[in-house]
Amino acid sequence: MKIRKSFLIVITGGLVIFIGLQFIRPEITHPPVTGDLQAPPDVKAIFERACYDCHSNETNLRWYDRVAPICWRVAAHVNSGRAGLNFSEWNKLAPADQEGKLWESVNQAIAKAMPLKDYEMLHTEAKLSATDVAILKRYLLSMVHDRPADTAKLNAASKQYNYWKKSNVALQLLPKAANGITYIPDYKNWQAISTTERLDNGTMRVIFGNDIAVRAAHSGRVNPWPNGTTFAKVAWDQLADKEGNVTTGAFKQIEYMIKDDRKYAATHGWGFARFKTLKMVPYGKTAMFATECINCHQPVANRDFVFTSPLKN
Amino acid sequence: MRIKFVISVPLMMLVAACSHPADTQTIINQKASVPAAFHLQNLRVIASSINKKRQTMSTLYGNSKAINRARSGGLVGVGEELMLITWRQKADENWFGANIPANVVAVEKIVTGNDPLAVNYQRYEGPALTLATDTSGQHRRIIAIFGQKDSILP
Repeated sequence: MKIRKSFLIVITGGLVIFIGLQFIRPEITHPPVTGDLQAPPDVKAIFERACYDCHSNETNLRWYDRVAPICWRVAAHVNSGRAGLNFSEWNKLAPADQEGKLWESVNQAIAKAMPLKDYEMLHTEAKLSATDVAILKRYLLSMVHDRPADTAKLNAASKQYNYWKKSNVALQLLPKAANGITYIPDYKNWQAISTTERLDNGTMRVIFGNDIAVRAAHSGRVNPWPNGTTFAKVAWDQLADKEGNVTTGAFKQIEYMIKDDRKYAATHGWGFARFKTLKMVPYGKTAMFATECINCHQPVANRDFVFTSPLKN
Repeated sequence: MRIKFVISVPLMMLVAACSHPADTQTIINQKASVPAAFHLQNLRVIASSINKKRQTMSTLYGNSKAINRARSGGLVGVGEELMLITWRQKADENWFGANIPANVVAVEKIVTGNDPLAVNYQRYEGPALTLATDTSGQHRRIIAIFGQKDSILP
């Protein structure tokens, strides 16, 4: 009798709390679609099914998405999802940025970092099959064209090269990113730990590592990388000739990753910075830009958020 | 706010717990690493290039004398050391759309002595990177390597 009574109290108490929770509701808005993603129907259908609930203004809320506490999580997903990538405002991105976002999205899907696991658990229809991934890959590869560099690209490269040669003087004041990381000119005296050819954006890269990084690669202590590890990745335009020989063209940017598990705890121990063009213009208006960096590095969370497989030369 | 936190943090931890750290041996690109005998750590990067037809990528390294000559565009001088490493490419498992170095195809080494015209060229190739005995085409390779324009490294 006593047990039954206390059981009833627990159940009623639980119900009251549950009903009470329903009054704490974050708002999920439905702003108008200003410029939707343009892609072949089969490709678009996959994006709509797997991504649009959080990455567009066309969020389709099921009844269970409206129940607290699930609705809190859903609202957080939708708000951060739209902030990172919104297919309903696709036309706000420059064509090159649109392509970049597509490659990034498909890479997140390949690495199973997206759709988010807890979203997938409740929305099983969002799961991507091997066929879906193959369709997306084929679509991306159809956008890659190997052609010899045009006059504009050649001119940009030679103009920049000549400017660089003439202005080969150390900068008096080092450019600084919004999070306080400065451009480090000494990277060119570090060792190269890998190179990359990028088909998705027509660039080529050399990744340099400071002494700590090089020693870590030699001793195999790279997961996690030790504090003080610094990488510098330099990207250039590819300059191809008719025979398919490619040399480095205009300098695009330099990116740094600095390991300090205390200072950069909010971004999994890594400080990020990117400086664009020879003027070394820092990327990102506020220190929040690093959220974008770490989000993109999420697929390699199991290798300390580092894409590069270092050589130990 | 606090209730949301109490619920969402364990959820996120549950998701994070599902990914196991990758093995170090799979992270380091062992096959592409240049054997220590070549002392690549004494040299610095001059230029990077790709051959799309052969699906190879190369990095040209040099000592300070070679770097200074490449940057100033002057004539080949004494005591220069250059090394051109060429790798077969492979698709990057971590990024669809990227190619990275696979195995080393060749190491070409150039050293200039007191007489800059007396250039010593050596080519190491094959799985064990053994010294090539066939010396034909050396002249063409020397000109090509010295002729590489330095990459913009601001």
